[in-house]
Amino acid sequence: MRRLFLELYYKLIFSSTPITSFSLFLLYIVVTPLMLGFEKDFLCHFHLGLIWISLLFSFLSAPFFRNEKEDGTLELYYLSTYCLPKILLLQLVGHWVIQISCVFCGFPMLQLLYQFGRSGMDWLNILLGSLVLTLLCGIHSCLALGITSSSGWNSLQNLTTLPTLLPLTVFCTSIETEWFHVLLLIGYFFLFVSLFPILVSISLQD
Amino acid sequence: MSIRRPQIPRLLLQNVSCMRNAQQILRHVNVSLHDGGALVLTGTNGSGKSTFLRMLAGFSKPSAGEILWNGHDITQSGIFQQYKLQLNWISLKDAIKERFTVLDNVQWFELLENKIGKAQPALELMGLGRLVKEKSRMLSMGQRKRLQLARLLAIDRPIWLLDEPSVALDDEGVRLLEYIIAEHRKKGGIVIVATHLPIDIEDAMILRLPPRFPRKMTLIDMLDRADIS
Repeated sequence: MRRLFLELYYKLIFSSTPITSFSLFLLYIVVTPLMLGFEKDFLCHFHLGLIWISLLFSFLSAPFFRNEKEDGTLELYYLSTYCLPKILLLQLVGHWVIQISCVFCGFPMLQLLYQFGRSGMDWLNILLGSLVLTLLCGIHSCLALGITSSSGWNSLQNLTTLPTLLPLTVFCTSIETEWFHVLLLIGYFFLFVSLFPILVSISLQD
Repeated sequence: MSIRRPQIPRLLLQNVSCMRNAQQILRHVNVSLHDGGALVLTGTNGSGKSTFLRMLAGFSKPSAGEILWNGHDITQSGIFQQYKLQLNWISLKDAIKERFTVLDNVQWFELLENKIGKAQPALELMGLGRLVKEKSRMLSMGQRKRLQLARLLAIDRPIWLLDEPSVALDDEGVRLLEYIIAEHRKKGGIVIVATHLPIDIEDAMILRLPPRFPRKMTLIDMLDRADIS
């Protein structure tokens, strides 16, 4: 039963995770040095900031749970034995695993252009920060579920998401020089984890 | 001589009203259902049939009145968590994953109930046995509806809320639907169906919902009317 669950879970997550996000990420990290003229010192010093901008733009394009809303799956999840927030969190984690795997597939490009990976903190930065980013996008997707038009979906989600991503961006891009930002990042993560069940419940009401 | 206490209805709606977007969709609905009972909702488009079902499913709350399950108000959180586990839900949204196989689409929701083993027989009963390994995007509209009904059978909960369950079904499919409803009721299950198309349900109560009431006037409406005059 567990094996069957994992098989179906993998099928579900893999089929619904937009691979275009990874393409966007690759595009951003390649184009940015071209725009900056391959300033090596600048890229090495500010690589986390540039990488995080690329991650933000690529993750923001992922409309989490939209398909589930449109095809009626959310309603069945709501009535199932498991509580809805747990199911959606499980999906978010699955999305995150696939997304971050794709990002790390681009490691040679990151190393070549940005000197990424000189310290273990870079990896921790990407891992933890992208998890928070995925959770934030998932939360704002839940809040946007009530919007019926696709254009409204995109504009509202971005408008509400970007302000909450600002602390995340600051923490992640300055984590090398401000080590206590790791703690702030962890605290920020748990803040939104605690809010997640409440927001999910609100978003499902007619 | 002992006096028997009247049996509490499994589901009881008392003076239930529902508003949505400043419009009165339902007004003063009173229904009681016991085990094995069936309720058929009829009415014109926009009369509130789907809203009625969604309210029973907990997706929205009544603006007035009470919905009681075993005598307890389902709008209370603790009661609702127990009540929702009694519900099976079919709507016009089929919740079918295109990249899943036909069997996967039933098993996934079966697993969410910590159950396994009823998917295959349910699909065979609904005439989809030969398609279990096919991708569900290959299914026709009628086959998708049969898949929904197979999921209904596999999960097997006492209270069925069915919104237009016979849409896209052929004659054989409708007869099959009538059969599974009858069998469900024999086991004490409750069925509440919203439908435009005729479904033969023995001894079912019929609730005809009136056309939608005009929405109440808002301040903007009054100001607009004042400008016109």
